[in-house]
Amino acid sequence: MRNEIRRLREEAGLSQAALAEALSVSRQTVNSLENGRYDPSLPLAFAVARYFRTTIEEIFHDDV
Amino acid sequence: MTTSEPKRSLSDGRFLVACGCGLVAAGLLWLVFTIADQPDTAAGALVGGVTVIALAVAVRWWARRRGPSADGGLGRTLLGTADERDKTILTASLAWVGLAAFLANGIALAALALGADGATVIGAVQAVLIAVLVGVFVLLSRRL
Repeated sequence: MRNEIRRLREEAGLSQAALAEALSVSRQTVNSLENGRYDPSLPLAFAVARYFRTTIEEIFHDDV
Repeated sequence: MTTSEPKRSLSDGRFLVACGCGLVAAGLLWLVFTIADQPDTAAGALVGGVTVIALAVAVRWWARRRGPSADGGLGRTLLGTADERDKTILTASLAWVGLAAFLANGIALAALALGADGATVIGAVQAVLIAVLVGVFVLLSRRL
């Protein structure tokens, strides 16, 4: 699943570690999310959207 | 929502209880095999069980030395600070261990039927399962 996490993070001037700390996940999880290797749970997807003050639909895109 | 909860380490008390339960289980296995007049198998089960617990203690000590921000899923999992991706990896790894146990059990029974030493077979099965757990965990940590 494609997502806009890397773009949003870089626009916010955050490191992966800083975003990971804010979301209470590991830096590897943020890296995996950005590279599309790991699809987050619904609670984590909501947490990401809430953190960037946007919606899940604006961040995550179905590949189909 | 789990992602907003603060990280909480697995306490030393809970870890000690888990180790104690493991020792009791290994002791019970030893007792059962001893009563069944299988001293070699009893010794194998006891040595295998104690080895697993010793490994858990050693890895937890190693993970604690690296601190709660340890840059590895294995360390976070052992410290009890695993996030959802770590738990996904652990769950998948344990599923592979289950499959490996199913296969190893069949092979072990065949080996015993062919006259293999019971203690050796039990020790080998335990070693294989530990290797599968660590190997799959590391592999998935790199790929996921």
